Amino acid sequence: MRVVFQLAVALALSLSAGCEFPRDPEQSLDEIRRGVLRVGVVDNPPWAVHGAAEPGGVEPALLRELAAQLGARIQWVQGPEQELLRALEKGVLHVVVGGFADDNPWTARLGKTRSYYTTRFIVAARRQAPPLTELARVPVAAAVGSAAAGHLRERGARPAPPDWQYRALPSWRLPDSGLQPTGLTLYEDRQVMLVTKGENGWLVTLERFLDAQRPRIEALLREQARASP
Amino acid sequence: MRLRRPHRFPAEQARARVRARRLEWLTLLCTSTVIAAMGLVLGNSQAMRTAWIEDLLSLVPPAAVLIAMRIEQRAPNQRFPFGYYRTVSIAFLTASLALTAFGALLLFEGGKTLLTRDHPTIGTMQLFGATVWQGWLMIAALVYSVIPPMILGRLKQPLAVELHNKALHADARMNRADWMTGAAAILGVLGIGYGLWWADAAAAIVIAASVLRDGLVNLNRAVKDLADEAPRRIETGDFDPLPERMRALLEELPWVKEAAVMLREEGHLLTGQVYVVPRADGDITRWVEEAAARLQALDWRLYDLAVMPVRRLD
Repeated sequence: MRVVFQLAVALALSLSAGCEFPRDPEQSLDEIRRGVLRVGVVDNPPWAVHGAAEPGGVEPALLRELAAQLGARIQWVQGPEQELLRALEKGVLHVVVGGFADDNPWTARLGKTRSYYTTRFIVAARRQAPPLTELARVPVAAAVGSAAAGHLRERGARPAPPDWQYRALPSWRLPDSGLQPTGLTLYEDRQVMLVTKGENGWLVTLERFLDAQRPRIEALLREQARASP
Repeated sequence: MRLRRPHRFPAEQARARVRARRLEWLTLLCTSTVIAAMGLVLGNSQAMRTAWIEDLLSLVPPAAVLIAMRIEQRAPNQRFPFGYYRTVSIAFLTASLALTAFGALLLFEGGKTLLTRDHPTIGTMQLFGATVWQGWLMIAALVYSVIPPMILGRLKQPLAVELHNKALHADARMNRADWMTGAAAILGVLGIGYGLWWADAAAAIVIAASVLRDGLVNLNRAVKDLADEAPRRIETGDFDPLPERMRALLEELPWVKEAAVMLREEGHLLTGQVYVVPRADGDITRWVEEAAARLQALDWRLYDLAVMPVRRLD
């Protein structure tokens, strides 16, 4: 009991002394505050889009705002996923974005933020199309080689040309698509950003920032999609 | 065929048994709430994971004790003419094996975490609309996890001694040591908060080592019990002076020239052979039965003693 009490006192003292808690073992947050936020960007529109000088997309836009809040300059590194994630693992980058879902296989070696947006892939229909209750043997359009196409096949749906009356798409596209929801959901992606393992001070800062952005994400996605369809 | 007469607990011990069972049920209940609370906030801390697995494991001894206490009361029958009194020892062995295996496994995992320099990642959680560092919630759960076993362990300890129930005793001791597990895990999580990534793995190793130690100590005792070691006092672990007292009592009887006593433990009971060398021939059968009754009166744990008249002791 005395040990617990002493711990509590030591903790209270160190917190009241204005220390950051939790802190980073490798001082990421200090580095960022002092100067440069190093961001790896994987091309995955509309989340992140490689550009000539600087990347575009929803996630780079968000990080620009965070960097401004922290008084940091951003160094963008646009590259292939594997290269960037290895660099992130070694702590060379602070964060990598590119529409990552929280079940991506890299998360065993990397840290990830709590999910800040859930992308729901649904089946939508033209207004005059008959209502759907299940997908077996129903032709549904989806991009060739997409995850949505895989989920459709698993549920027994048949491939269809792009202009077909049923289409798989992320729910945030619905308002701009002119389609109606059928009530059928294919799968969900819980969006995260990837960080170096154990840099908890930086991770907490990033998560707090992303929590505040939640209500804007869908609007940002639509804006980005309209800008570069 | 003659079977052993079922052993009956004296009134005082019977009451202690009722209390012990109640406490073990309460332990199962409290530990379950602890496991649930910790499970809700379980993050990437190796120390906390280890403490959580320890809490999961600490369900085994009370469950084993409860099952054993139920079975040991069954009357001896044709299939088990010696009764079921060893059930507690078997439960004790099973529980300690589980502890040993998990202790070794957790120690290995902790060492691996330290060697691979794995930095534990702990972010935030949403709690009633606020964003809170998950470490604080983990610490809160760990503080809660410490309280019930500390109290229950203290309550169980005297009952275990009263009933001479080793499984219950081991369970009580583990409960009492549980606060150290919790404190170590709290240190580990605080260490992560302070940016000391290794503190977590180090705390996990300390916890795993304590689990392994509990396992080995109890395994050692359980195996010795089942190998019929001479009885030991439960509180101190010293050899029980009872056989010597029995010998002294016998040698004070006018018809006894010499006596020797061999006892072993059968669960909480003491049983064995008593050899007596009579001074002269006479009504030996009656003498032996009277002597057996007097020995029996020495301790409630003595049970089904075989008193055997012999010509010589060696």
